[in-house]
Amino acid sequence: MSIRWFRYLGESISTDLFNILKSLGYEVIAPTKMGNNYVLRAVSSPDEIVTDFVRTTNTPKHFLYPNEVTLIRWFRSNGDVKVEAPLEVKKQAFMFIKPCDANAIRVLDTILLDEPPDPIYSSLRGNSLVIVHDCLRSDELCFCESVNARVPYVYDLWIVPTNGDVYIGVGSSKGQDIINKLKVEPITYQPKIRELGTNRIPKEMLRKLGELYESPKWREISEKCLLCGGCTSVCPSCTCFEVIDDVGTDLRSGSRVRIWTSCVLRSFTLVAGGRIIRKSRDERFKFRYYHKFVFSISRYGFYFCTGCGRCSAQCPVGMNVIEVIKDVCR
Amino acid sequence: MSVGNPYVPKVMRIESVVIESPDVKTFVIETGGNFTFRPGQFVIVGVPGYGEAPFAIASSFKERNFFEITVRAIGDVTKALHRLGVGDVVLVRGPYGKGYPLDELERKNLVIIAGGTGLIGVSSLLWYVFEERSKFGDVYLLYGARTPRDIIRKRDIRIWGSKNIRIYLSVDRTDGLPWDGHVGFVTDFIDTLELPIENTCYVICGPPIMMKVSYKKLLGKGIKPNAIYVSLERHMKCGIGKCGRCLLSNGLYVCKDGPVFRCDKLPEREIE
Repeated sequence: MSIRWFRYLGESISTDLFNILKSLGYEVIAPTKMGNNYVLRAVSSPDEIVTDFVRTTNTPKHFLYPNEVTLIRWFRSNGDVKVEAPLEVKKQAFMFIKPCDANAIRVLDTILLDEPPDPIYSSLRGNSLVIVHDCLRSDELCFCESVNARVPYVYDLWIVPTNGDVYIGVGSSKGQDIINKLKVEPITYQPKIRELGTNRIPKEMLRKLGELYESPKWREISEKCLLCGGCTSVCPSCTCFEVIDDVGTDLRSGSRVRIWTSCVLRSFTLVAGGRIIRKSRDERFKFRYYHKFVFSISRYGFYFCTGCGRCSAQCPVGMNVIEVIKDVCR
Repeated sequence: MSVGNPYVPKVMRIESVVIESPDVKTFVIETGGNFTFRPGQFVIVGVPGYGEAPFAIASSFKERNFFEITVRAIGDVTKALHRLGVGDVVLVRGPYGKGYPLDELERKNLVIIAGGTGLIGVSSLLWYVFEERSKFGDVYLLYGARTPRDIIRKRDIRIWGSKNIRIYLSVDRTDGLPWDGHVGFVTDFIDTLELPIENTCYVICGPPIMMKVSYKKLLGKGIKPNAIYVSLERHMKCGIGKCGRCLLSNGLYVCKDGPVFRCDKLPEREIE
């Protein structure tokens, strides 16, 4: 993939970008500081945007693939049923998300835009803009470099600040349209992408994982897991969902609503007659690992985990993906 | 507006209802005339306010004006379906799935082993064999139910039998009802019949234990996993590879890669 690079010549890249995005009619969604947390939210000024943080509590998924979305509405009248599908149109620009989170959007694209595409995601994603800000801070839970997620694979612009200079990589024609409005000069070299020191899982371990599905170690390791689903709810790339039918108070209309669910929940694989496919704790615990690290590779050739560390940060009993994989492979 | 939105079902009506057994009914659903599907594909049928569930299409691929689903009242959606009658509305999506790999099955002998409502999963294949009988060698249907009362789609079985499909029926127990078939398990036939082995494909659909036992017994007879096919049942919310519910432990989706799988492409733990 050859990227076109530019050097930024203006005063403030965040102010310039914010103003351009606003003039193009985008809602600007950016990392902000709220109390002790960093949160992605719609901002009304570039001053609210932060770049020096480890991870936001929420992710682009919350905006592109929100929880609780109405798939259809139905109305009964005179023995007939009418069905309609509401489709929300929104222009959302993600400004200064991290490379790992841009790569999570790549996972969402892969699952949700695969034939036949999910119309709701397709609309929100098609109208979105992704501006990556290179990662300035990581912690001991991060492992993007172990899962090839250090550099973004999906973005319109990629902002790389180095030694006082700001470089901008262009990843799409939408990104080029914005570059055309910025004070920049093209460069013929690629800026240095610094290493983050997050290569915490040896690559050969991840490659070995596929052969260890039936390893007894999973049982031992999963003992501690509460099967609460916290890991999947904060995951920027988990898409599994439940569908519920809501009936209106008039009993003549209702909606079919999609809500996020989790593969660690007992009900996830419940089939007719009360049979549960993955009954045991270890079967449910390890399934997420296999989806993220093994099935994804065999089907699509890249990891569905981006090493953001949110699941480990979230876990109420302190389970850590890095340690789990090392334990299983050891 | 709804064109191209895979979550938007078609509104269809129930043309007739057939009582198959004490807890199983067949619903004949009017399609409006342009319904096409491949044997082995399934539909997702919903009742407004109750939800949706996947059902194998049990009727012949030749029928365009209607399709049939055969439903055991076992969960919320299936119980709601059982309360519906002629003229009532259902919401239909699909057909989904790849269905049976007919190119792999044709020009071979076929042994179909079905247990309980698993017969529904192989019905559309049997209709295909019935319509295209000359494309297959010897064809067997080994079908077992709990009691003579629980034998479903009896008229289809009779029709298939008229086209030189060898049919062997079994029941777990007779409950005092007249019965001239086998009493025991359908898997007993694998031991007692002289089934073809060379140039033969085996298709299994039924309850987990029955699938597992059939598979083990076939392997015991020296049949290779690549000659054995299973039609799997898993939980599904979308039918299009998004909801993740039917993802198998080898990364394949029952909805878009199946629901029929050749056993050499499945880990043995999923053959149930």
